[in-house]
Amino acid sequence: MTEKLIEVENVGKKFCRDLKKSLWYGVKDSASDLLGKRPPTCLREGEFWANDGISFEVSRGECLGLIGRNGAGKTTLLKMLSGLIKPDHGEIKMKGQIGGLIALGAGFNPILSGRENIFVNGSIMGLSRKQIADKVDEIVDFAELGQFIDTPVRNYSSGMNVRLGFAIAASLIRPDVLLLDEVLAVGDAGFRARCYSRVHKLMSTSAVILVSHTMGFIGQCCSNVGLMTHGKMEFFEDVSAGIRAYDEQNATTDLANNDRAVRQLYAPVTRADVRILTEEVVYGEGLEIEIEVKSEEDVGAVGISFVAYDHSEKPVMCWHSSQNEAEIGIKQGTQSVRIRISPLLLGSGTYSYTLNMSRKGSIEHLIWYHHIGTMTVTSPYRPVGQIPYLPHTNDFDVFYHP
Amino acid sequence: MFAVVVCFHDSQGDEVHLPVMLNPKEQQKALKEVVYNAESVVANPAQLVSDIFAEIIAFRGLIWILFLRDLKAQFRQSYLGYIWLFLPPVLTTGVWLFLNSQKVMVVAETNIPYPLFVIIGSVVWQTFVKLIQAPMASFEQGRPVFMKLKVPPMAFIAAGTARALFDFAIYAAVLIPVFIVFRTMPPWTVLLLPIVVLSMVSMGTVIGLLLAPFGSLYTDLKIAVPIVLSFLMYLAPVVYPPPQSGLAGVVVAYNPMTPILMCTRDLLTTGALDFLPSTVVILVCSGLLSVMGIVGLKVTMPHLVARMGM
Repeated sequence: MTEKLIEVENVGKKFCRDLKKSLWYGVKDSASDLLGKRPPTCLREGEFWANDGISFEVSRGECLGLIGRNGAGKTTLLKMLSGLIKPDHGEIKMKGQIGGLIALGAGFNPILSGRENIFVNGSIMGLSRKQIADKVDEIVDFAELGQFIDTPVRNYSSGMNVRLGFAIAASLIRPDVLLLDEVLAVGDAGFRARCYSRVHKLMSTSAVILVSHTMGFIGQCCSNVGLMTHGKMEFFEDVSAGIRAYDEQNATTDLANNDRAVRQLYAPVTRADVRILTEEVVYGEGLEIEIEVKSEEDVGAVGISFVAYDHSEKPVMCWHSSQNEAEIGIKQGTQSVRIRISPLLLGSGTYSYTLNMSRKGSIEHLIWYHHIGTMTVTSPYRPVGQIPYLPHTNDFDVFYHP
Repeated sequence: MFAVVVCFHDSQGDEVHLPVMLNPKEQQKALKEVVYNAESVVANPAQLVSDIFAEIIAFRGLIWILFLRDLKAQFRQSYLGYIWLFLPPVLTTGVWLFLNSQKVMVVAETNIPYPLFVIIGSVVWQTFVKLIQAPMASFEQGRPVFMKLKVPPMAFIAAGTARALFDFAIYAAVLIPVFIVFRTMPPWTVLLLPIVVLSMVSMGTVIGLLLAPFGSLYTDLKIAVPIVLSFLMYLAPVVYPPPQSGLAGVVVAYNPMTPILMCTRDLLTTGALDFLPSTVVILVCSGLLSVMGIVGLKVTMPHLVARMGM
């Protein structure tokens, strides 16, 4: 019963890297278009495919999450969906009113007041003066600018600017197709909560395409995921699978970048090798780590700490031997220390880890290994941001009140 | 989504709620479909023309709002405010009169009082220059908007041209006291003035419209246009009457602005219709070219947006 509102079939777009050649191709393509001819579909010198062979469909009520590294071609696809640029091959069919939370505050003149700029921005979005006038009060309330609505926009802070832009866009568009380009919620925490509720209302009655780098939103709002890599799109029916694939992409290039790795050893330790023994690290199960240490003399009791970081370098988990009453002693010579952390409560994703060893009861370090490697955790539970997912409880009671 | 709940009472008298789905056809209003592909839009001219008209109608309010926005914003911060609208024609005329009276610049005799000759000429020329430069400037100004949102650049260009015409109306208002001072009453031919004005607007707009998209790609035009226009003024009978002989005479005779300048002056003062036929020819030609320019801009817009940056 759901109607297909967006149909994209084998769409491609090419750009040119060289400026002068690009401008010249622009002139040639315009001339071909004016003469009624299609421009050539092969790659000319200096050109590359920014989008290549993209196909998908979105129906009303569905939300496609467009994810991918910077420069993968997401904005190019959005521009084609908005009708700003033409595809070089393939076809896009869209039904209904197309709206987007893109370019908030377009057309604002800094000298005019916020109220006057509401009419300018609304008019740019295609509404008549009367339609805007009917909604002005709603916009002013939503933006929560109070009396500042009548002061020139150039006196607004950037946060106020963006609040006004968002309030106008969110109140005036009533689209069948909604395009969201990394603008889901802006401003302070209170305003953000209202943004989410407003955007959710808009999303529930449209076919949505959401571009975001925040996997939490993607996991929460999307019904499908399109992972863009170098212009090509891989379509995932399962959102978690798509997010995992994105994380893997980021892992192989970002976290394993050993520019960040720091390895420092202090006497009497002369060698330390750290290995993750568990081949498949799964949420809720154990993680085995082995540290092979060579020391020139007896050290005695030591404390070992292990910290895992997510791809935004936020620490998400730590284990410390002192808190776990583990007695670890280092003697002269080579020894292996094995640690088993169980249960490991990390959501699916790729993490980089740090291992430190210091004399017990002192902060004097013997081993300082920071961001020395990565591990990939799989979890049967859909990620909600990067926060560890606590196991659901199977034991609950519901009490009905009379 | 669109469910109706039917509520009735069963045999026990209890309320029963049953959802009933509306017929999909009833709930689906006709949704406008739009298709984007690599085909040239010129291949379907009827669709192209109807799209352009639909755009103009949908965005007519925007043209007015943009015009008002720029007018208000320009003077809100100034102390003298709207007085600045009147000063340029008054000052230009004053300078030329001074130079002529001091015999610094001596020009040939004109058949109407020289101050009148100059002020009509400079009003027409200054408006012409503004009409040429307005599309390029509006295009630049509207860039941050139509690079990100689907807004026709013609709306910005139309607002810029409207502003040039508004300034022309102010300049024309300045003419009235000058006529009173020189005790000259315009003959009946002043009723034909709209033809000449339309011709001037048409020619200025078509040149500006053709320059705008190229100006966005190649900065040569932005630099060259003001320079070229400033010396072109000396090749048109703005502040001197057309020379009767010599190379200058030929150049001025073939300058397309000459009929417009001379015709405006004649219609307002002497009533001669010598230059009217040429003016009408210019009007028709530039009118046709303007239409082609508007269509051309719509067709080439996606290519310009693709090359102008992200």
